[in-house]
Amino acid sequence: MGTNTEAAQRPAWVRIMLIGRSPRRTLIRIVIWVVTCFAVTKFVLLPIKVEGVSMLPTYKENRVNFVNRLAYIHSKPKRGDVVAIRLAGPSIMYMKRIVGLPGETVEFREGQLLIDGQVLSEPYVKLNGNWEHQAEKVGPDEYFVVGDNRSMGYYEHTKGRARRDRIMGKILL
Amino acid sequence: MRKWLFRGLVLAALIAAGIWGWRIFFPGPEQVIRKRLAELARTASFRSGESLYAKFSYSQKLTEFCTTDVVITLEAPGYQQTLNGREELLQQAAGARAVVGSLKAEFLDTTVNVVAGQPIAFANLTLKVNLSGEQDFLVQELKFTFKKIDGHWLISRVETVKTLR
Repeated sequence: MGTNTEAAQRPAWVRIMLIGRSPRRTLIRIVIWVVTCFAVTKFVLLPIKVEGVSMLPTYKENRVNFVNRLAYIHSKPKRGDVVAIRLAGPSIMYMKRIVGLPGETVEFREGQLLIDGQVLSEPYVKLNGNWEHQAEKVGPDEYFVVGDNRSMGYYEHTKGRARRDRIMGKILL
Repeated sequence: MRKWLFRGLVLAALIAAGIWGWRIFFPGPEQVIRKRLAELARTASFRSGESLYAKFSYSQKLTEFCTTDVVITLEAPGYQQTLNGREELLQQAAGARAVVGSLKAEFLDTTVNVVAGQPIAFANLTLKVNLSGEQDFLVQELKFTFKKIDGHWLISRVETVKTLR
């Protein structure tokens, strides 16, 4: 008799553990959670996985990070910000650091970065090279971006002027 | 009230199924082009150990996606190459298949714009290529121009898009 009652009660507990006392409320909660997670990961914080070595040693390969898509709603991108730059869409993005702002001139001389002819202090660059590249003017709606790893050849490293509308957001962590 | 709600839901489901069916059986130009691009990526991909016949036959099939006067312009820092016509494309494709062990091509974030009233369409996408099972991959933004010839959407131009200038 006692055993039968226990057996009858067990499914009720399992049910409560899984779907709560009120299935309708649980369903509403699940829907709200799913919609919130979808909206956040689509429009606010895009989850990304770091691939490649161009941002070493600041960002190592295979680490997960987020792109804050709201970072530049009320402010403009700043020098030193690490940003995500879209290609055709958000599936694959470049992760780069902004070094040149609109209207500035960017140049590499003996591995040093010069902005408008002045050497820019870059404490984040630990892997240096001896890049040489003539002065290049950044357009009015453009930002010059480059990775922190300068130890590779100049042409092997993806860098250059990115249009503002290609900047998806700021890297969060 | 419940009855009417149920009827409404059934009607909405039927309309949705009808639209889905219509798009499957009578795809618009955008769907056709997306399908062609997916086929192209599959044809361009290959595994190691392909027979000589397979190498040639898939390279030949690759050219069938293009117009006879296709122009492919590939540009990267320190590199530029232009292929004119199916013959040059066939040579390059067969050459690449002979040299490279394996290749997996994927087209991501594809957007298709069909020019209204004209048999021309443009597709923008990101090409992701894995070579010989390496962990690193190559990415390149590309722009395809399609022309509708004899009822088929064929690639008439491929050019690289400079994400960073």
